[in-house]
Formats: sequence, C-alpha cells, structure tokens
Amino acid sequence: MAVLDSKLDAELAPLTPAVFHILLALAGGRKHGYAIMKEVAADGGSSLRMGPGTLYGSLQRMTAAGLVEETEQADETDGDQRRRYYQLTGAGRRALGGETARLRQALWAAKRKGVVAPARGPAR
Amino acid sequence: MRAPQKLSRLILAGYQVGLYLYPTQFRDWYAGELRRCALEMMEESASPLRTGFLLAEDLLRSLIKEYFGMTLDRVPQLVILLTLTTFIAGTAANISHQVLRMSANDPQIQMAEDAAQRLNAGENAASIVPDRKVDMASSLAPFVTVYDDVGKPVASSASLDGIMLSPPRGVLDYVRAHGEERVTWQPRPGVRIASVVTRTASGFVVAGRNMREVEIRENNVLKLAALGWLAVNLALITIWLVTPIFGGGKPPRLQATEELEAP
Repeated sequence: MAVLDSKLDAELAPLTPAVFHILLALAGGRKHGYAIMKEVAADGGSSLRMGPGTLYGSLQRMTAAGLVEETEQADETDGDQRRRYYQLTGAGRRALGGETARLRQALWAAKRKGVVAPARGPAR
Repeated sequence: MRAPQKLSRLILAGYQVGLYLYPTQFRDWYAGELRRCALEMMEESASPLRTGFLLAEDLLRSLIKEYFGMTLDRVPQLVILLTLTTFIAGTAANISHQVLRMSANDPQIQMAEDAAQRLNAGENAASIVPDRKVDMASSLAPFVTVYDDVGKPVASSASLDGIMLSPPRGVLDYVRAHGEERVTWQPRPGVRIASVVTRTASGFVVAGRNMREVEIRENNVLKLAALGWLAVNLALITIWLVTPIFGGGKPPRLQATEELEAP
C-alpha cells in the first residue's frame, strides 16, 4: 500500500527539472545512462548539465518511486558487457504527461500575460 | 602516449578513486555504470581538463546529495539510538543515586533501632545519646536525638547554631502511624540531614547525619553519567555518519531485470 501511495504521489507531484528531463529522455525508448545524459543535455541545454553521479542518484530515486524501471542488456558496442538500461513505467509516463500539461498551462498563462512572446512558425 | 590521453587516464583514475567516497550501497550498485559514463564522456570530449572539472563537480554535488538523502532517511535510527542511550544513562544515574542515598542511612538505621530498644527497655534518654556533641552544619558524624511524644527534644548529641532541632511535624505524625520513616530534611539552606525516625514507647528517636559528602558523590556520579552519555552519543553519531561509507549491502535486484533475464 505504501508503495502504491508513493507511486501515486510521484505521478501527481510537480517534477524537478532533472526528473522531468530524464523522463523526457526516456520517452523515446529505453536508454543507458550515458545516452540519457546526452539526451538531457540536448533537450535541456547548458542550463541542465547533468553528470553521472547526479544522473544515477536521480535514477535510483526515480526507480524507487516507480517512475522508471531498470533493464539490462548486452551493449552492442562492447561485446558481451552488459549495461543497465532504463525505461519509463506507466507511472513515469503519466507523471511526464502531467508535468508537460502543467508546463503547457504555465506557458499559456505566461503568454496571456505577455511574459513570453507567442511562438512563431518555423522560418521558411 | 599523447599528453591529452595521459591526462584523460589520470583524471579517470582519480574519478575511480573518488567513487569510493559514495555510500557503499550506491557504489556497489552504480560504480561500474559511473565509470563507463565517465569514460564515454572523456572519449567524446575535446578537452579532458574541462571534462575532468565537470566530473569533479558532479562527484562533489552528488556525494552531498547522496549523503544528505541517506542521512535524512536514517534519522529515525539515530533518534532511537539516542533515546536508548539517554534511557540507559538516566537509569544508571538514577540507580547510582538511589544506592548512594540508601547507603547514607546505613549507620542511622542501626543507631535509631538500638536507641529505641534501649529507651523501651527503660533507659534514660540522656544515657543513650552519645557524649560527643555534633554540629549538624559542619560535622559528618552521625547523631541521635530523643523526642517526647509531642515532638519536643529531650536529649540530643547534635545542634544547629546551638539549638536542638525537631524534624518536620508531618514526619513525626507519619512515624506515629507507621513506626518508622527514613527521610531527608533541610533544617536550613545548605544543610541536609539523612535521618531515620523511629517510634518509641514514650516518643521518638531520630538518628541522622549531614549529607554533604553523599551529595558530592551524587553530583560526581551525575557528572560521570553525563560525560558517559555525551561520549557514547558522540561515538554513535560519528558511526552513524560514516556508516554509509563502509557499511550497507547491495539493494535487491529489480524484478524487471530478472524478468528480462529469464529464458
């Protein structure tokens, strides 16, 4: 019951930028740690630089909260060495959706108040 | 070997040593992955030095986070341990205090009983009181005082400022009903008397002595108990803080991993 409650909390609570970006990185499928780091750097820019220690600390807590789960498979680039891969759980996907909706809502409010200029279409 | 490669290897070796600073559980579980990430970062980096700084900063930041997290998780353990040591130290101090306090009555019990027996046998009050006079405030010697049935002193080997004193009225009333009472009373500030009050056929006998030395010993025991409590708790807190570095085991494997590994 306690596990279920903590999973529910994790799904409903606003996410930290690091957790949000890790979930976002995993939205495209399972990844190992370094791939997540690169994806987070690409999505979050220089403001969200994440090293291995920070990443695995977050992954540990996110695994405990039921947002991601760990899998293991042979590294294609490294022969028989196995490495850990992470993938979203259902709860993680819902938490990511919830946070994205919250951000969309905040962005909409910011635009309405003139804090952020409306986005332009892609340049032609 | 080119200089940047040498530097990269040196930084990675330093990082590997740094991994030992993580809590055991975290280290056992993630050290391999952390090493591999650092290696991949270094391989793709144009500047080993810059990557080295990034790794060092990340190591420091995540170490603080991991220890802070573990410390918060383990606060209930510490609270239980500190409560236990406080209870043990308190009980030990209380037992020692009681033993000292009870031993403070040792000669008085025998003196009061003997005096009561002699009075009941018909001896004169003046004859059962020791000849040597005692100043209650300054002497540690035990004394005997005989009172009549209303609590008026009849004969005494002790005085305070030249006056023969009576114990509190309530004490005599209690002894009148119960036969004996062991009580500490304070005839004036700074003078505490451990006394045994016994009922006789014609009144009461009080055998007492100044508690100055007993109180000094009680204070010493209290100080020792407090020092012991402090030392044990400091040791416990230190062990509690450093245990994550040396102790702990691997977390259980995750079910998802086992499912994938199953044939």
